[in-house]
Amino acid sequence: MEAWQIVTGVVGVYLAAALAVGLLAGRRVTHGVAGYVAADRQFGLLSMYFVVGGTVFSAFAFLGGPGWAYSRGVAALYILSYGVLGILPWYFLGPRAAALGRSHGYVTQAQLVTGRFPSRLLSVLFALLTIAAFVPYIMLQMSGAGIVFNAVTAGYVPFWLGAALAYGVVVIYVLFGGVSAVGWTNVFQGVVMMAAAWILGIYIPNLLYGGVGPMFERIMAERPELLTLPGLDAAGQPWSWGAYSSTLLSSAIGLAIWPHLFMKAFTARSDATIRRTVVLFPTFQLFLVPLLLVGFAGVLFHTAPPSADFILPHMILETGMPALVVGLFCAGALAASMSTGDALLHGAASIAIEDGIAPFVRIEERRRRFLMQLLVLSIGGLAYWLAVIEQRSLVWLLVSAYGIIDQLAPPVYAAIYWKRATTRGVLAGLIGGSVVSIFFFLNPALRPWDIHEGILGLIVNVALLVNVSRLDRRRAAAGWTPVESSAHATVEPVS
Amino acid sequence: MTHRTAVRLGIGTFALYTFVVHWPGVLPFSGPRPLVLGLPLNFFWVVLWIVLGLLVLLLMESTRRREDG
Repeated sequence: MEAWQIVTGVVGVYLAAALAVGLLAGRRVTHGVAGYVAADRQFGLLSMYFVVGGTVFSAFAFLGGPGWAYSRGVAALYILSYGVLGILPWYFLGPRAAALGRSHGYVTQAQLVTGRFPSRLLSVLFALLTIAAFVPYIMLQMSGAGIVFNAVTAGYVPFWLGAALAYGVVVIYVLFGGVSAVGWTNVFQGVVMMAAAWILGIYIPNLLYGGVGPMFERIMAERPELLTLPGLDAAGQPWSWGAYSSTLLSSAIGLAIWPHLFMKAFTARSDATIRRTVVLFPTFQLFLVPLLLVGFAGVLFHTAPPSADFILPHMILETGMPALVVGLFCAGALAASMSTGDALLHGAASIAIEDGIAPFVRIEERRRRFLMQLLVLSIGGLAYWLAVIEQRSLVWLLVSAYGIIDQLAPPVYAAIYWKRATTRGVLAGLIGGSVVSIFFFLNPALRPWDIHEGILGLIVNVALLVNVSRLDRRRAAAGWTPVESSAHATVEPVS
Repeated sequence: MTHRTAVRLGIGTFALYTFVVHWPGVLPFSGPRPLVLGLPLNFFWVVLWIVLGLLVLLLMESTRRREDG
């Protein structure tokens, strides 16, 4: 049997197992919206840990991260830095959001924010911005799956087919199992991807250079510019401190606010579960270290991949690893891609219905779940189509999404922590911040000191939020309004 | 140590963390030399803070659990 056939076999087994886990998990929850979106608020520590880890670490960790280390050197360290910084607010924010969710029936981030600042416009803006950020992020995950398949099967499985296979499995278990399937598949996928990362990260530098230290000694001698912060930019020129620091900060602020992650607060069984997940999160962050090492190992390697995002599969294939190890890598990378993609697809569909449509049209419970499933299919289809026709660098896609997500942070923090904030203030900030962020995203040359557009948007966002709230005579009531539909407020027992 | 103190320590640590991985706090550690545990200084610096972050979070959680009984 040829090597690529063994690899495809290993991947096939992995995909079948993921599908089975997802379908079995989905049978354990109720059939309403609370079951589909919030898993009846029954996630324990094990599932929460892997859901958060698996959701945050995407195809980007497996492909984009090593790709940056390979082409831009220590600029990639920003990825290591922002994760732990970014998750800390969740230690305080998560349990607070969960408590509000339990008492008022919230299952999405926008429901929480509009519970404090009643406005249908705000709800729709949240839904639109979230989906605008999610689509490129889902595309990124699909491209990741396509790249992996294509590279390790020596082109036998084309890009479009690889992405379709992996996401066919995801769509099926998300359709039938909802967030519960997302949770249990993430436990399985998290174990696979962590094992793959550590095995490869230690093995490859040892094989090629006799260890991590000797590898860096050689890079320092031959390519010193790669090892001095802030590293290089996409064109291979020295990156600016303004861009490095603001990209890091923007990512850290956005991390806990990403709606698909934030919504997981509503799935937790208890507040302690959320806190412990935050405490253990840095252990997940550390698994990026071996992946970056593989990227660095590629710097002085005698052949170059077709593009930087291919460096990890390239190294694995070119160093003559046993087919079984290649298969493991492939499963790990797919797991990373799928464990983020499933949460995004599920989140996008839930948000579109709950925040974009439900405030305007009364939809009964059963129909609502059916509509969500329909949307999982259509959003998945749209992202797939875009991913296959428009292939951009993985990191570019991710960085563009963070600028939008950052703008959701002030409304969320104001809802929970600032009593004097008003609905008008929040709206003004969100609109102003988003316009500024999108403007600088489209006109990068105009950014002062190369600062990330998300941070520039945030400055305007916060200034407007504070000043408009202060000037606003119509003081917002500091209380919370529950979600209208009674179906949300009650959580049925698990059948 | 009380949970309150631990949370203060945690917030202080994370404030410092924010400073030392951004410009200008990261400047003294932005070069590759010396190698520490095989890693360039800047790489090691970033990993060190992940570990410190983990430790202080563990402290916050353990004091909270003790006080909650």
